[in-house]
Amino acid sequence: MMLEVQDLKKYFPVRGGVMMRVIGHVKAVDGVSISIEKGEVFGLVGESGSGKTTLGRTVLKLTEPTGGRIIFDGRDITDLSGKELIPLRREMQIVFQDPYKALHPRKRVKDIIGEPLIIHEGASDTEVRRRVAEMLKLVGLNVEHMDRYPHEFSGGQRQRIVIARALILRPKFMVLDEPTSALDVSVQAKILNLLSDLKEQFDLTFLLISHNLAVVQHMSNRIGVMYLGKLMEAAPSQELFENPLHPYTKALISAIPIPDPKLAKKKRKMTLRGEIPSPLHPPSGCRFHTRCPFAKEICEREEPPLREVEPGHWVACHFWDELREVGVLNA
Amino acid sequence: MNDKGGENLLEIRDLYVRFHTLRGLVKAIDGVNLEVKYGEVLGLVGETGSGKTVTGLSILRLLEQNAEITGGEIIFQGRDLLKLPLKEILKIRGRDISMIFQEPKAALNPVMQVGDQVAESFLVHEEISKKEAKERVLEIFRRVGLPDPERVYKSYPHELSGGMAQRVVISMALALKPKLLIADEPTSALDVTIQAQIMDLFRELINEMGTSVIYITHDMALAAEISDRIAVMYAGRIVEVADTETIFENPLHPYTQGLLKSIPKPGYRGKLFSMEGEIPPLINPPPGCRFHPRCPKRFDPCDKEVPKLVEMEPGHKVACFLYGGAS
Repeated sequence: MMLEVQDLKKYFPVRGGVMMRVIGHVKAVDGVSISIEKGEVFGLVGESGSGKTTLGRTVLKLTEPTGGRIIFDGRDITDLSGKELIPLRREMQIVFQDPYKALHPRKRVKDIIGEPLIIHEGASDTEVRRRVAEMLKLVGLNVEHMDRYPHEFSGGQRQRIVIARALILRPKFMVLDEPTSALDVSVQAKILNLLSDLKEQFDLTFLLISHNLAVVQHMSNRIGVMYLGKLMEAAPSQELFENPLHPYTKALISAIPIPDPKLAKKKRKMTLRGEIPSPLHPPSGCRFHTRCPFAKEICEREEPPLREVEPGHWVACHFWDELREVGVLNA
Repeated sequence: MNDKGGENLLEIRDLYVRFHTLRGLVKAIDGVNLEVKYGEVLGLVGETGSGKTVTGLSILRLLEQNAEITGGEIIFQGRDLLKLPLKEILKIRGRDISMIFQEPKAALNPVMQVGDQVAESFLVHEEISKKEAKERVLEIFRRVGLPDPERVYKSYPHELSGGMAQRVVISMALALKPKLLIADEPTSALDVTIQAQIMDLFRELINEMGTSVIYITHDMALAAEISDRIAVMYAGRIVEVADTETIFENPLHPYTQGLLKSIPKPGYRGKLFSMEGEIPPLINPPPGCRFHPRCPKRFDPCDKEVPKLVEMEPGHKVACFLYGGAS
C-alpha cells in the first residue's frame, strides 16, 4: 500500500464578529478513508467545495489534519512536523493546476527545476545542470531551455517544467491537482500522455484530482467521488462508470457532455435541482439529500455509512440496493 | 423553429481584425466567412487564440481600443454592422443582438440590485413604466428558474452563486427576445451539475423563442450537445463548417480530425492522439495555411498559399488543399 488515509478530517475555523472569534468551522474534509496501492492511479472527482483539493494537500502534510491518520508507505506520518517532514518531501510531490502561477517569474528554468537538488542533496552547479538537462529531455523539452525564464514558454511547456521539478528527486507518489484544467485540449492530450509515460518509467503512484470526469476516467484505475467533504462512492474506474450506485455519481456522469452527437441523444439524463449547498452549513443527514431526486425522510436525519457493497465497490447511500433494483441509475 | 429556416440572419464576409500591441501587430482574425441561419444554434469552436471570441465581439463592435477591423462586412438583416454609426449599434445591442460572457459576475454591476439591472434593458429600449418593467423582470426570473424572484430582484451580484448569476445574465440577454444571441463560454466557470442545468435552460429558451445562437466554446463535446452546425476555428481562420453530426462522423480538415482524436473518451484508456507542435503566435503566424507546421498531411502548396473554404458536400465546407482549397 502506498497511501492509507483513515477517517481524515480537515476543519478550517471561520472567524467573525467584532472580536474575530471562531464562530464555526468549514468541514472541508469530514471523515474520509481511502487507500491507494503502489503503482495505482486513484482519481478523485468532485465539484466546488467537495474538499478534493484539501484532501490532496492534507495527505501531503502541506496542511495539518484535524483528525484521522495518514499512513504513507507503511509509516504513520500524521504527527510528523518541521524537520521530520524534510525526508518525506523527497518521496511525495504535487503538481498544481495553474502552470502560470506555479513558476517563479524571475528564476531561470535551471534554478526552478534544480532547486530541490540543492536543498535536499546540496548538489554542485555541474551536477544540477547535468540532472536538469536529463530531466528536461524526459519531459519533452530541450536542454537549451535551461537558461530561459518561464514567460518564454507556452502553457503546455510550463506544465512540463512543473512536472520536471516535481520529478527531479525521484518521488514515489505524486498528487496531481487539476494538472490539465488550464490547458487547451490538444495540449492536454500531450500532458496526459507524458504523465502516463513517466508513471511507467519511474514506477509512480498518482492521486489525480479533477473536476473533469473524462480525464479522470481516462487515467485512473479507481475513482472516488466526493461531495461536501464526504466520500460518496468509490469503485474501479470502469465499474463506477458502468454501474454507478450513488445518485450523485449518476448525476455527475450524466452531466458530462459526450463528444459524439449520436450517443448524446441516447443518453439518459439526470439533471439535479438546486445549488451546491455552502460547505459552511452542510445539510444534515446525507449531505446530498437536498438535491437528491430519491431522498426520503431518513436521508435528512441519518448519515449513511460508506459500505463495501461489492468487492472494491463502496457507496454511502441508504437506498443504493433499491435504486439498483429498479434500475434508475443505469446508463 | 422559425418560418425563415434556411435563410441567413447574419453573414460575416471576409472579416479581418488586427490588434496593435507593444509586441507587434497581432493578426487575430484573418479572412473569416460565416453565416448564421434563422433559428439555428451555430457552435463556434476553437482553442486559445483561434479568434472565436474576437469574432463574437466584432459583431457587436465590442472590441477593445487597440483592435482594428481592417476589412470585411458583417451583414445583419440587410445592414452592414461595421458601417453603422455607433448610435444605431447601441439600439441593436440588447434588442436585436445580445451577448453572454463566461464570468456572469463580471457582466453585472456590483453596486446595483440585479433586478434593476435587468429592468434597465426594458426601460432603455421600450416605453414602459418602472412598475411594468419590474413585473416583466419578475416574470422572466420565474421563467429562467430563479427561486424566490422577489428576493433575487433585490440582491446584489455578490449575494448570488455562479449559477444564479448566470441565470440573471441570461434573463437580461433574452429579456427583449433578441434575434441573435452570442453566448461566449457561458458555462465554463460553472460546476458540471450546474452547467447541465444551464444547458437545459438554454435549450428550452432557444426553442421557445426561436432565437438564433452563436455558441462559442473550446469544448467540442458541449458544442455537440447544443449546436445544429459547428464551425471550427484555428489561428484566426475558419477551417471547417458542417452540421454537427457530420463534423463528428466525417471530419475532413486534419486539424478537426486531430482535435477530435485528442479528447479523452469514455471506455478508451490507451494513448491519446497528440498533434505535433503548439498553437502558433499570431504576431508571426505561419505563412500559407496556418496549420501547416503541425499538419501530418502537409504538401507543396500548404506553406505558400492560403486555402479557401470550399463546399465539399451541401453545407460541408473545408479550407484545405487536400480537398482542392485553391479553386
